[in-house]
Amino acid sequence: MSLVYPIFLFAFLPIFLALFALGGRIGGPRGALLVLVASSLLFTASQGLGFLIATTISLAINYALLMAIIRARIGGRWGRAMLAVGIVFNLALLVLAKYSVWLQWMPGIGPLSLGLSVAIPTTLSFLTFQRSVALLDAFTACKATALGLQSPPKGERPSRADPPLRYLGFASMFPNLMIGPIAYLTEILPQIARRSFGKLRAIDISIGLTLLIVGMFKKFFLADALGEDWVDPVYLDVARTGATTSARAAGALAAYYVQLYFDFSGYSDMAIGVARMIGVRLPMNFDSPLRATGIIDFYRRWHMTLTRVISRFLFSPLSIAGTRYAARWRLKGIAAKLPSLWLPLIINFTVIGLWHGPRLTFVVFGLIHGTWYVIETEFRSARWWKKKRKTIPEWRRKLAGAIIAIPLLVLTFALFRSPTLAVFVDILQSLGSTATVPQGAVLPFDKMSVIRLVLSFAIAGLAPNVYEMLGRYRPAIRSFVNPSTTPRWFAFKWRPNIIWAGLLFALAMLAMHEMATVTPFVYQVY
Amino acid sequence: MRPLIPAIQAIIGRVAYGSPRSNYRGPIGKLAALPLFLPIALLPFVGGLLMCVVALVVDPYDVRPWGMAPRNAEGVYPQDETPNLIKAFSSEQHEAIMFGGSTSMPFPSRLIADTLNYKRVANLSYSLPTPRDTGPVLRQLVRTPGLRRLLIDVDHSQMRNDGATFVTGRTALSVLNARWFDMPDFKTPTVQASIHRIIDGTYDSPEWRSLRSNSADTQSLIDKPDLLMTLDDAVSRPAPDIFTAPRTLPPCDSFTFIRDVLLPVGREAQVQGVTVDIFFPPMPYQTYWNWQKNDVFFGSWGNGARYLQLVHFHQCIFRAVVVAKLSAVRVNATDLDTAIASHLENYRDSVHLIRSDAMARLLRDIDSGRFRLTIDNVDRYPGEMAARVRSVAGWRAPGQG
Repeated sequence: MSLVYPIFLFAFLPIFLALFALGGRIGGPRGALLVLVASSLLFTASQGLGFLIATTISLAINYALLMAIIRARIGGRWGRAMLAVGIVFNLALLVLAKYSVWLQWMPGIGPLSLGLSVAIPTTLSFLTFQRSVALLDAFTACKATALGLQSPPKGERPSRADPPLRYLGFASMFPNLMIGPIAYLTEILPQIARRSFGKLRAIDISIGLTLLIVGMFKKFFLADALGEDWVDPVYLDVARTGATTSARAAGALAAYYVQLYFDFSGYSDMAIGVARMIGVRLPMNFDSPLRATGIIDFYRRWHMTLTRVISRFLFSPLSIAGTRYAARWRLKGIAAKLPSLWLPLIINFTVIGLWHGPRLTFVVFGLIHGTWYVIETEFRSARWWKKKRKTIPEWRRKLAGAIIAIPLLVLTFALFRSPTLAVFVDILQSLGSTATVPQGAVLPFDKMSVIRLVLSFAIAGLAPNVYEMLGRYRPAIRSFVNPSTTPRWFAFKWRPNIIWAGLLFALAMLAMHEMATVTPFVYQVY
Repeated sequence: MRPLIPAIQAIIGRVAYGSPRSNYRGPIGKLAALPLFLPIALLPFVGGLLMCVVALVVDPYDVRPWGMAPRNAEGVYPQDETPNLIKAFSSEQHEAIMFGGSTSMPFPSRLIADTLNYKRVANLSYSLPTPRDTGPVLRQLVRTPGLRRLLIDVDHSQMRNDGATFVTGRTALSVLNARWFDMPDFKTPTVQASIHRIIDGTYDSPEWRSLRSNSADTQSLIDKPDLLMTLDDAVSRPAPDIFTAPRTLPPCDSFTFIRDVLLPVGREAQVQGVTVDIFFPPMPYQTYWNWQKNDVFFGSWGNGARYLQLVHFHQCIFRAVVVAKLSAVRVNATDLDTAIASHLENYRDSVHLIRSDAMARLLRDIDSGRFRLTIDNVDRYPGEMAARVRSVAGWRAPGQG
């Protein structure tokens, strides 16, 4: 079961909310948290026994290590060692379950990895990061973490049950368990430790419902249909026959660009919406990334929680080490930039690519984005550009950036979607193909699919994202502050009034109409 | 008119750009200010909950351990609903079941029952089945309680070895593999029919009946000049390799259909005591000329005459049955029946039968074993087929001179 299942949306969720409110009324914040944990474990169990066992063992070990780190940081030693053990354990579990294809040759580890990947078909990527970041939080902000775990709700007595319950609430919380957004422990703890946790508020339900419906619309009405009509048949054709017509190839490239965004951001909206219904703000994951004016801008808007985690975990330590190395050896110019910036960036993006799975196309995707990031960073920091940019109006700079960035993004997304490099090359070659669709052949895209594709681009290109519309209600935690790229006329603002309710009603009906076939989220396999 | 424009602008400004509720004025403003957000926005969820409850109680596709016993109507389901009902139909008592692709979809179950003298019959054919979905579907169907006969229509889609499935096949597979919480039955028409199941006792909906009767294409091929012209062109200006013997033919054990469908299903049928009649749909012999020249839909053709590749596949099916000693399985080369295939008025297009007397004849062919392949006649089959295909060499469509 995941957030797209009708049984989740129309049965599990309302029952959970009712029990959560009841738990809050009877047992206060602790009662509500208990309901949240129980529901999360039930949700976890629906992913299969292997997933439940693996995540529960991981939960227990992570909690023990987290407490050990806090104790070590406050009065003892070995904090750094505990942190290393925890991160190695989490990453090892992820690597074993996810990269069995590449580990098969290793005696002992190969069979274990294969067994784990069969037993845990569901992704562990997101919860691995979430739990590892919690350990890092405990290490870097041990007092705040300890306080968040232990301090009783205002006016209540401390309880020994609080730390494990709060940690469980954070680490197993079902809305963002499967595909994020990856939250920090320090972001969530104060919210579940507050006195009012467990009390459902109409405004939270309204905001959560809005996010949920917008996410459903993106996922069911746009992303799934785009995939089914435009993308999947073309990739299937190319994988089988090695070619397609130029129109179909172009259609597939364009459609996948928006499909991936609507699929993943739709999930994120739904997850943030469900969490918001119980008064928890999760971090925002997307901020109109398809209007990015460059790769740097893109990664400040796309999968923002992964960007911040990878840069905190990987880029910053690598960059600091590289900078120290350059300083020690008094390196200058390119020799200094290589270890302090360029290599860390390339490694950072290669890991992001690899994180999606053991596939060469992901590695190449990461390398291209890394190289692009380096080039753009250098370009933007060049002195001549800094002088020159003052003379060019901002709108013109943004437009030029988008004109360069968007086609490159479309192409690299197509690479990301391709199962092999050969398929990607075939798709690119098909773009220049002069073959026409045979007479009488049925095209996969009818009038409705064309309308849907145009609508998708219109929404991605012009409409405000849901967080902009809900802006004044602070629907989610912002990791990066990006300037709005929404045209002024389209900068609609949400209010819980009858007109917006009608609009959401219509969006929900459109989504429900497409709901019979449950298509997993694209990111659910990564 | 003039004062209206600023008023409209103000309303849009208030509603779309979200000024605080205290600023709402006028009738629309007052309406917008009513605390109706949650009741309206939650309505779809209430509807969704009701739909879930109905689906969980009735369980029309029989995917859950609970739910009402399947009680399906006879031959009233639209094309895209049939693959959903494979499991439900296989839970009910049936004496005979027909399964195949679009070539067997037009056979009314009543006609099958009357011609073959059975009481409870179902035709569960859906468009474009491929070996990948046909295997699991037939393995499910062969276990139907009370089943005595399974009629399997094998058309050229079953020659595919690429693991492809089409929408209908994927639907059938997803229902067969569904877990209780997967909810493939979460659809408005399904819920409507489920409500009828609760009220009237049968899983059915009046809309489906009208849909079925309205969607039936009743026009014969001979009344479709454009199609006739295409056939005429294929015969009068044929592809050069229409009679070229294929240079290479795939070995029989390379066909996924034989390996993954025929043999396991045949063995299961033998165990269950079910007679399996495989038949090859008769098509106008002009169609084979057209396939040679124009078929762009089927990507699995090899080199040389396509109808000979098809016949080779049919022979492979027969030989696999003999080698595996599947005594319950009979193979009928009904594509040799000139009484059906030589008369274009029997068809609605170049492939699909339309006339019920032709369908009844095909069923009688199967029942009587008139075109049944045997060890004695199997080698003659390609020659007989070639003669029939050649026989239309001088054919011209009416009105084409």
